[in-house]
Amino acid sequence: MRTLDVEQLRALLPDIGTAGLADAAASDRPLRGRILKLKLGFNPNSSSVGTTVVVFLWSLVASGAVLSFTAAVLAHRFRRRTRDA
Amino acid sequence: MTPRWRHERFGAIVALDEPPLLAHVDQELAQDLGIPPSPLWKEPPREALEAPEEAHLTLTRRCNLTCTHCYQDSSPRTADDDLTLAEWLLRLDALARARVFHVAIGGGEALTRPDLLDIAAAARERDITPNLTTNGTLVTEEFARRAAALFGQINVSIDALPPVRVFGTDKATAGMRAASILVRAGARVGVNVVVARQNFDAIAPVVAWAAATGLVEVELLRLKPTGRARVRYLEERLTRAQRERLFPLALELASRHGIPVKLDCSAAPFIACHAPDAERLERFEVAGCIGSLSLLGVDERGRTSGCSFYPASTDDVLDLARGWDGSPAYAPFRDYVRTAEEPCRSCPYLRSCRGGCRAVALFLTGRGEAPDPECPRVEDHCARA
Repeated sequence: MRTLDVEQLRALLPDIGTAGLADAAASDRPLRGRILKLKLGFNPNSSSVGTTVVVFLWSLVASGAVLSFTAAVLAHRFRRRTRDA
Repeated sequence: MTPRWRHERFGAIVALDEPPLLAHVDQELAQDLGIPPSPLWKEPPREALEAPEEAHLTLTRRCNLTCTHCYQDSSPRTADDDLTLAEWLLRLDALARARVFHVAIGGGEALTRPDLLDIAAAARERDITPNLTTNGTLVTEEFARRAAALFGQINVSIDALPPVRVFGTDKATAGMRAASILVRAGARVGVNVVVARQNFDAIAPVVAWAAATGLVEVELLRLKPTGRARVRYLEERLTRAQRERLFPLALELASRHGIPVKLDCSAAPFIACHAPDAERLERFEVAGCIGSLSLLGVDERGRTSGCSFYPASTDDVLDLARGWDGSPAYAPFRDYVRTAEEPCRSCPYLRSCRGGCRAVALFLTGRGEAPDPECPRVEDHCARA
């Protein structure tokens, strides 16, 4: 079972936090499929849509890590939803 | 809030509020997450989503201020012909049926409506995350306490820090106070900065203040020639040098102050001119015009548009299920990539930038489907021609 390096990812993505994963395993098994697009944060602006330029401060390796982390967050949340149902 | 999702041709969109994100996942990952297959997955791919991800709601055009750069031409004297609370609830029902994830509430000044929090609560009840833009002048401790529990994020509009005064009003002092109150109340707070020639050098102090005050992000918005901003647009718009400086400046400030800095969709040409990694642009949705592809504008009468800066159609959002696919009002947005003129047609960033801002193109050329004349590439192309 793989675990997330939450501190490293928090440094990459201060906005995303740890999503309750600090004490959780990332995933019981590797996820299949992929994230095609990822939009981080809310968009409160009611006239146009903003996109963060911070992604250009990430290295190529780090941007891959962000997508992997996000997939793990989604898997965790969907599992919890199933458990709680 | 549990994860929300909606089928799309490519797979599904998944939305979380904590952490706040929207992810487009392919069919394989969707199934791995437990999302059942859909007949949509057999349909050919297309650029527009099956419904908006996000709708921008102009709850009112009334405002307690009269800023010279207002894209809605709002003021205290603006006629009150807004939809009632009951009428907005029906529109929220229509958005919920389409499984819209977010609404961005604005105006005018949305806090001039006494039922603003009722509308936000109604969105929450329908599994739609409400977000808010405000000038901050009407924010009280009591409002902040209730708003913090309702809104995903609240952005306060501050275009320069005192004593710099821009766009004819002194709203920054009240905005800074409001932001502090909202942060103390536990709200997720950001700041919107409309960027024009006169306040370009005022961006850095706003970013520094936002980071020091505990705000979560700064959004830099390009001035648009709509509403009252049309009057002085040609004198107030960014210079070529400022347009080219905007993206590196945003990166520098984000890095220096450790706060995310966003550029709005209309600034895509000013990013593309620095030749960034195109795949990263698309993957992280650093996108240009997404009007009527994933975004819908709804005005104070419930009429829809590709975005809030573009003239509203006669379509009511009540008819969203039919209008999203059938309305000709979205043609300048939806047809852009397919019908792009030079120099957009041969631009490697066409698919992400989508020709810059339709509202700027409409104002400067009279044609909403024209390339954005303020894109450096377009400017150079026109100079050569």
